[in-house]
Amino acid sequence: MSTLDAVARTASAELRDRFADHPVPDLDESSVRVVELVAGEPQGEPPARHRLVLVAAAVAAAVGAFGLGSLLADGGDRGVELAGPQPLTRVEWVQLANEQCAAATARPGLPTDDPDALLDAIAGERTFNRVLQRTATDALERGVPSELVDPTRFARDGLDAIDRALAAAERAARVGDAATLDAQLSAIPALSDRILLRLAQAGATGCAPEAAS
Amino acid sequence: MGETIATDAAFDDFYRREYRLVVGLGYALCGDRGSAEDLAQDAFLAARREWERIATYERPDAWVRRVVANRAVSLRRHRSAEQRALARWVTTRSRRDAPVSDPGGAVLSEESERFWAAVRALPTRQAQVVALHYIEDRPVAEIASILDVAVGTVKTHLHAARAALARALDCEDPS
Repeated sequence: MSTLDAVARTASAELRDRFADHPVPDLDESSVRVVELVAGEPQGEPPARHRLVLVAAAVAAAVGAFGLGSLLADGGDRGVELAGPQPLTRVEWVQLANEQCAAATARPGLPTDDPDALLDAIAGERTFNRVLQRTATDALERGVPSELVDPTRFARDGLDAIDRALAAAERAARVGDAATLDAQLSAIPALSDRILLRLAQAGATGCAPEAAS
Repeated sequence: MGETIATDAAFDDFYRREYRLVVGLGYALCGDRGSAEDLAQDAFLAARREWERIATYERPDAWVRRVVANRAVSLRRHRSAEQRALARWVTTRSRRDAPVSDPGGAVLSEESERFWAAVRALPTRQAQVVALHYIEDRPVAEIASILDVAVGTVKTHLHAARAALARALDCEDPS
């Protein structure tokens, strides 16, 4: 019979060896994964944390933007069987709040008089974009049917295009170039609306916080 | 400005020297490469924000490892919730029963993966103690400092962990 120490030291040595040549990436705040999804919360319970609201709302918006939302509603028509009873989940709850808040902002156009808030919103959207890339990749690797996680919509070049637009928007925002900012964000469907929602939830555009919470 | 450059260079050295070991620790505690990389990035970003303070510590590497150990617990909880949420969105009867694959894939040999899986099945503090003790060969006093617990507590956890691992892996534990 092996001794525990021998087994432990072998496993530890192998782990050290395996990671000895692991690539060391540049330290990049936007690449940190921030997925926080919670399922099965009862209807009407507001999200407890602002960060969860932002990420879940963004994910819910993406679900709607990329067509997965219809699958939740019409699962039967597509031959998809949703598991178990379906109370309104926290993601769905926040999606409803998202729609209400977006309507409440009345599309005033992106404000450039609060550059810090705008830059925060753009940075948040870039982080979310990377979350989408990682989530979609994980979903495919976990066996989610590809026809349900439409690879053409989550294609890396599509998400890369979004990231380039956001990077250009960020540069424009830093120098107060409103025309370029608007042009970059308008090029991607729903992107400016998502930025507006983030600003609204941060209180920057005066959207009533009750609408989003 | 000169001081800032020196501080940034010192942090960069620290980061590149410690990153791989920290990812390894994260892998032992989480079980997948992607999460380990996220943990390491998260911990070093926190270290960079606090670098002016942490750089004065005797063991800044211990600070980073404490962050990794603590956040590994949260990460595993969040990943469980994420997997449940993802499974709720799209599933079929056959896929409902299918095992959820590990996005990172197996990194080690089967025997080593079995050992670390058994470690992850331990109570949180025991798993942290075992990982720090075996991966980095740290003495009990250092582990106590990293986890901010008493030396006696570390010894207790290590003893209990070894007994549990010996049973789980059908090994002899002479200690």
